Amino acid sequence: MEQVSRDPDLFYVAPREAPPARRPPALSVGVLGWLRENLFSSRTNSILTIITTVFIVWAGGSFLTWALRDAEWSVITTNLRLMMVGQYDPPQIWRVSLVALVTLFLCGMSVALAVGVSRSVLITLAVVVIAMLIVPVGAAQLPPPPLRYLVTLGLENGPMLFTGEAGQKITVAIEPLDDNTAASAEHTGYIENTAGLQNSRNAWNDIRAQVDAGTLDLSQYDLAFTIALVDAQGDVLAQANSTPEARADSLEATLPANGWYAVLTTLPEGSTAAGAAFVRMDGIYTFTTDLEAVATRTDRYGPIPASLCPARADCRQVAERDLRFEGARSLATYLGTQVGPFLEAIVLPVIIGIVTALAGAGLGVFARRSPDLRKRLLRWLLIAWVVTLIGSWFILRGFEGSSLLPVVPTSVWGGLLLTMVLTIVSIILSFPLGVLLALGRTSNLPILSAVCTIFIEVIRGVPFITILFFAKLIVPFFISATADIDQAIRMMVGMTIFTGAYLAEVVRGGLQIVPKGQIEASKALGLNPIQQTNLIVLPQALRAVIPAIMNQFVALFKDTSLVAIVGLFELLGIIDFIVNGQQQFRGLTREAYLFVGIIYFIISYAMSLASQWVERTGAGTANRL
Amino acid sequence: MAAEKDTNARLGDVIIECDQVNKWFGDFHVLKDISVKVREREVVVVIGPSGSGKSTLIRCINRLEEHQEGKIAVDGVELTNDTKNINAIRREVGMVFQSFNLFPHLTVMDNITLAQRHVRRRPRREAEEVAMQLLERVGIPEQARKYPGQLSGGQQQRVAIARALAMNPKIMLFDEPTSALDPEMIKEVLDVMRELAYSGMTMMVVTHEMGFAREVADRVIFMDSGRIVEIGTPEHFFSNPNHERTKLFLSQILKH
Ligand SMILES: Nc1ncnc2c1ncn2[C@@H]1O[C@H](COP(=O)(O)OP(=O)(O)OP(=O)(O)O)[C@@H](O)[C@H]1O
Ligand SMILES: [Mg+2]
Repeated sequence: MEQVSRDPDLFYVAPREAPPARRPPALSVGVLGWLRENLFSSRTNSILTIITTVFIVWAGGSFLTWALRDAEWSVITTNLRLMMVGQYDPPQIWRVSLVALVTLFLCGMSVALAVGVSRSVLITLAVVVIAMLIVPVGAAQLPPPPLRYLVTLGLENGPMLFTGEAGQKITVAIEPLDDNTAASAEHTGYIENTAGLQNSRNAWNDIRAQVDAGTLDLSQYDLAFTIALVDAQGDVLAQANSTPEARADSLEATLPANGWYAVLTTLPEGSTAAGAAFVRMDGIYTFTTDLEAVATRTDRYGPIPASLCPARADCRQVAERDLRFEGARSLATYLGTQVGPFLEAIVLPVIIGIVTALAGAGLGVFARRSPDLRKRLLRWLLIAWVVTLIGSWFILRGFEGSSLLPVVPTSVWGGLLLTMVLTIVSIILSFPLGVLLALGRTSNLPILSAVCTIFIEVIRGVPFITILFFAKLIVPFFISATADIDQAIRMMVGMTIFTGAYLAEVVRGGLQIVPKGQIEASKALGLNPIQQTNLIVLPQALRAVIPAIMNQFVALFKDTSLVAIVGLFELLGIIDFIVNGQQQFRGLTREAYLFVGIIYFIISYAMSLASQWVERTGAGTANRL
Repeated sequence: MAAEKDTNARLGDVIIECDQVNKWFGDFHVLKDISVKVREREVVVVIGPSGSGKSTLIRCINRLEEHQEGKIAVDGVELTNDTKNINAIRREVGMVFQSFNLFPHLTVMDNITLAQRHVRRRPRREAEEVAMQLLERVGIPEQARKYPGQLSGGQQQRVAIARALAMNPKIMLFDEPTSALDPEMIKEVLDVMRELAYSGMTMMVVTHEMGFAREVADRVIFMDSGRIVEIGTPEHFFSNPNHERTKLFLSQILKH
């Protein structure tokens, strides 16, 4: 062959062998490189980075300071039952637990069958469980913070009841407020805050205000009183006095047995002496007053002794409900007084829940090993879900005249239970309604299409709250046989038609994006119109609008709070009821709303994860073509 | 080659009969007095300029479009508004589209078994066996578990052919099956179609692949502006067309 010398810039022939594939060049150049590239790549970027960081540190810092030091989470611990199930008959709560456990079991199995259970999930759960077990135990080792009540004229001076263990050392000291500077001193620890007009905290605030205003002079201390530590029989174990001369006496005692004790304060009869003093108790553990805690307390220490507390309502106790923490607290105190009791209150149900879900997941993981078993379990699971969803309603609601499952009317359901029931029922009903409305609106039959269009537009044109009012007033007319239908059912009807109308539009959008060719292909294969819709059009249309559908469901979940208009107290309503209706929780709005906010977030986020999963599954690749 | 094709004995009875078919889209007269008969095992290629009504004609044969005048009978059943007739005919007639129209939410396997199970009422196992045989026939058995979006265009079109064949149709309609494909893929689809033709399937093919028409077709139909201009054997049609319009058309496309 003749060799022509060609200009190499114009002509090229590749060598016979293709070069081997190489790995891409390494991109990351360490932490600093990453920082420079991503956070400080330009002057604007650097400024934005600094401003954002400052803001995050500032906002996060003040939030954490509040949450870990100042916040009073006892409002949550004390009201946990109300928040979870509302006024559901306490002896019947096992029904709610049963439903919740079965649901968790099925959830665990579904997740395991669908996506499997990764090791990191198991580790996370294990860490959560261990932390929940350790923190309360550790917190119990910490010395409890001091606890004070005020002695002054005009203040209720009943006994202060508490429980103690054999061998427990306690100290009760008198802290006279005999100096105007003492009024502004910070007292770190609990202060008695029993519901009622006058309590130590209010009285102390009054004193401080008067001192500040100059109308009270604390150095005029004339108070003389006795404090005595007594046991359940009223026998005095130790005693201390305060007189204008020797003011700061204290007593120490080692408790002889498990049981109830009290500190009695006695002012001389007819005393008109002025002054104020704190009685400070150290080494005493506070308790919560929810039903279960009271039951275990009674088991251990016996009932509240009648001799100490003739009229039960008068008794002041070291119950968290009746105390308020004042002053700055350390993280240890915070863990001991706030996190510990909360975890103690939830640890058992949470662990049972996790174990149940894991049991379901275990079955699912096991079944994944064989495709045949998996298929069989899937079919079983589907049936189990249907049975559970329908059965739960009857288990929760009960039957007329049944002794095992007496009726618990929905009017007393509340809290998270009601929120979930309303949401789930409305989701289950509104989804098919929405699909049918969408199909109806797009159908060729003019009357059907017109009816659906009018329905959708009317419902969408009216505020949600109006629909709920409408449902409340109108539903009984349609079902005349039983004129008093549950308010909850009426609300579900309202929520279902409202969400259904919105879903219909979402689904219609989905129907429009299915190409005509899909219907032509299914026609050409001989599928009838119903099969075309069910097998070809709907699966594609619905998958395309999963995010929008889920959006609607999350909105529905959060909008359940509007059922307050018929006097139902779901999660948000019950918080309102607690922080505004119960005097001793006044002012704890932030804590309560933050807590429900977290619950709402967890559930909404779980819904969003579920929808992302459906989108990601193999079959969810509808938009690939 | 001629001997192989032009044996009257190879062809059976008339299976598609169009008689004076007319169709309008609104005021637009898209099919004008179309009369044509197709016999069993015959391969008819329809060619013509864009907009001449080729797609409309073959879409009338399985009633994806409705004709307004005239008569179309397939396998002795006349196409009317009677849904029973339409369903009966659609079961006998498979169709392959230019844009494949596979069901993107179903795997290749499910694409092919869906109609078998819901229309032919075959049990799943049997349907899957049929599907696997067909996938082997079109040369992509290893793609059964994939989704259409994961396949190349040529592979998708072959799945579409397998999907249509799974219903055991007596007639296959092809509407420009290779027009959306790259040259390398055109060949793999045409190979499948050629094999199908030689196996004795009755086929009506709209295509611009003149090589395919020349080699495989028993007859070629040339359409223009909604009417049939000329029908003939490929030899006659390509080497010695009668009508001026045909000559013009051929001279234009053969220039390339
Ligand atoms: N649904 C419809 N409504 C109105 N006009 C239509 C419709 N479908 C096709 N047409 C018109 O009918 C004529 C014939 O269309 P057809 O698709 O049958 O042509 P074709 O021969 O297949 O062309 P091509 O080679 O471009 O596919 C065209 O002018 C087209 O614009
Ligand atoms: Mg066409």
